[in-house]
Amino acid sequence: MKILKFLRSMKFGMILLVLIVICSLFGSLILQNQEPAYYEAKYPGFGGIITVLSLDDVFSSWYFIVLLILLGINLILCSVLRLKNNISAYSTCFEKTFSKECEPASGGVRDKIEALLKSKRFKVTEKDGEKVYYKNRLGYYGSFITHLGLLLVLAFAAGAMYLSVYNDQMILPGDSYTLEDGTTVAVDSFTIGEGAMPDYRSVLSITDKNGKESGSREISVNYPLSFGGHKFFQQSYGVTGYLTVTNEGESSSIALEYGMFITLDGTNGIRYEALYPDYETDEGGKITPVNAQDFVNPVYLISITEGGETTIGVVLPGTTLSVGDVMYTFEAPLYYPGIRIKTVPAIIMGLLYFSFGLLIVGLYLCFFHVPIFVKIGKKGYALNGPKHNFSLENDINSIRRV
Amino acid sequence: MLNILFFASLISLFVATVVEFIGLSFKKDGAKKAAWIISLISFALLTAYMVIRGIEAGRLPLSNQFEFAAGFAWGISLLHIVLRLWLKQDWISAVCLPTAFLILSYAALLPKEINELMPALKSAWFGLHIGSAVFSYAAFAIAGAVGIKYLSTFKKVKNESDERLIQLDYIAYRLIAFGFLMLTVVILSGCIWAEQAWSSFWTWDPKETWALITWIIYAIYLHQRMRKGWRGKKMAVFAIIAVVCVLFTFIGVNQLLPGLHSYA
Ligand code: HEM
Repeated sequence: MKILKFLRSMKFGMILLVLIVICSLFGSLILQNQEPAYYEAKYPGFGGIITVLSLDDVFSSWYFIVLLILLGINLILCSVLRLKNNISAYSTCFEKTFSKECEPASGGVRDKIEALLKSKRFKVTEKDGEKVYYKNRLGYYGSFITHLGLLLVLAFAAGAMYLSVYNDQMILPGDSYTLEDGTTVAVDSFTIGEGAMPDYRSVLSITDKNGKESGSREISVNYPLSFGGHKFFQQSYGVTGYLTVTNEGESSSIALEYGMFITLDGTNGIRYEALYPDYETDEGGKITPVNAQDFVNPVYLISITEGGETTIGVVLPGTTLSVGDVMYTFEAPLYYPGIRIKTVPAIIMGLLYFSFGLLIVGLYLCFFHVPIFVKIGKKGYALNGPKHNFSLENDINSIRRV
Repeated sequence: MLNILFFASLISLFVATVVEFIGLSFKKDGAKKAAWIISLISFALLTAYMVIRGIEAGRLPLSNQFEFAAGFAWGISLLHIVLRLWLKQDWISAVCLPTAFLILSYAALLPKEINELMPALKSAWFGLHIGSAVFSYAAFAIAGAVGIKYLSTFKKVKNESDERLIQLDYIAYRLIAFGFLMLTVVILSGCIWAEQAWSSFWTWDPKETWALITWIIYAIYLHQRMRKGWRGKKMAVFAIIAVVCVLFTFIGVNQLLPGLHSYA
């Protein structure tokens, strides 16, 4: 019994909140999810402790999860049990106000107060020739709705995190990817905008598991596409070498993968080693590949095998080499999107966002919809309500002073 | 041209603050009235600056540390006007003007060129997220300043049941309640936006974590007030310490802790 009482007390709630803050401090001040060596180097002597106490991954540690669950239990116990109080406060508010002792005030003052209350759009109820003006009665449920909202946010957020499945795929323009449930995503095109902060846009066509088609739909950052029970995000991008092979008048293009050996006869051909974003040229015109952030001057590093001999070299996009009877044309590098496919039951996201709304409504009720009652009795008036209303008190005091 | 507006606003805010304190120290009502009028001019200048900057940039002018700091100061100035008209008391200015001036001076130190917006910030949720942040931070900052005013008044009257102190305490509480509601909007709209932009609504990046810490600290403030009936001095100190947390969320996280939000 004593334990239950503690578990549902606000004191316990506050202790939990303080503990959550302390964990969050560690979680934000210590860089999370690094290798043990990082911590040993950064905090000599404490690396071991950090790993043992899961301070390298506080937010998924057992004790943090336990804290959140305890907070949930505490919220259930305190808000469910509080609902009774709220209902009774709500339903007895008139009774309580009618039975309040009045401040004596003359008829003139009472009339002025009534006029003020009417102008502030108070509602009124009457009993035995006495009146109670009232406003914002719903406010009694503010803290209940707030805590319920918070509880549901915790529950649905946990649910959404647990049930979300992420699948990241690099898909070349013109290619497609098929998910386990049979949904197919085709990337029709991928473009990178101009400027210092370019937009990355992919045009997708999705066919869901029942064969329903999305048609061509563009996605970019902030504008994902929901279709067929999945959500498609423009997540990242990559770049790869691109080669056209021509033999006896027939050509085909391939996106290159590192280490790929392209050959028709099995011995003579080209091996794709790497694609460098930039290069330098020395006085002799010799090209040396260099690494850079952007693909300003892309250059291919390849090796050519012909007649049993292999040579390494660099080629610029647009170059055509012939090895044997086959022509290899190195094209401009191909940019492709990284598509993130997120699968989560729509209902849980709906419920999560609904509980966001509850939390906001609850807080609004708590602070900006505070119940207030004014009794106008036979000889005076009285104020009642769960909280002070200074501005009304001031107004009434100034009426009295006149 | 744009910079002239900004500095004119900053200087007039400084002048308003100085004149206000002259009025306070020498009990000159004329000076206080002048300070009020100058502060209105400063607000008008800052508003004009933000509007023109927004038009020039073709977007909400609240997208980097400078713009947000300017917006923060603008929010304090706006709340100053609202509070003063609503409460009809002139000590509000003595509290708000130096606070707004401090924040605007911080803004003045930051690079002011208009940059292109990164695509992740182009979202309808962004307006709600950052707009509510301006009001939330502004309300918390003023509540902290009211806390300082409380402590200095307490030194003089030495009696927590003094009418003036009760009112200061109540106003700090109302500001915090408002700031708390706004901060909740900041966090929840941020979750929805993050889900659209980055596919998950919460990633524990330092900015998110610190917003949550700040939120919980103010939740504790609200509960202690109710549970223990904490009022007065304790709460004034609490409100002041909590502002440090707000400022760390706003400035410290960007400077010291790396994360997705580090562009802001
Ligand atoms: C961060 C989490 C929490 C938030 C945001 C929150 C929010 C609120 C708010 C806004 C109020 C109304 C305050 C006022 O009207 O001045 C309130 C009241 C209250 N809270 Fe919380 N709360 C939280 C956690 C908790 C926890 C863990 C408990 C544990 C018992 C709790 C117990 C209460 C109680 C008993 C009341 C008074 C209810 C009444 O009679 O009106 N709260 N809370």
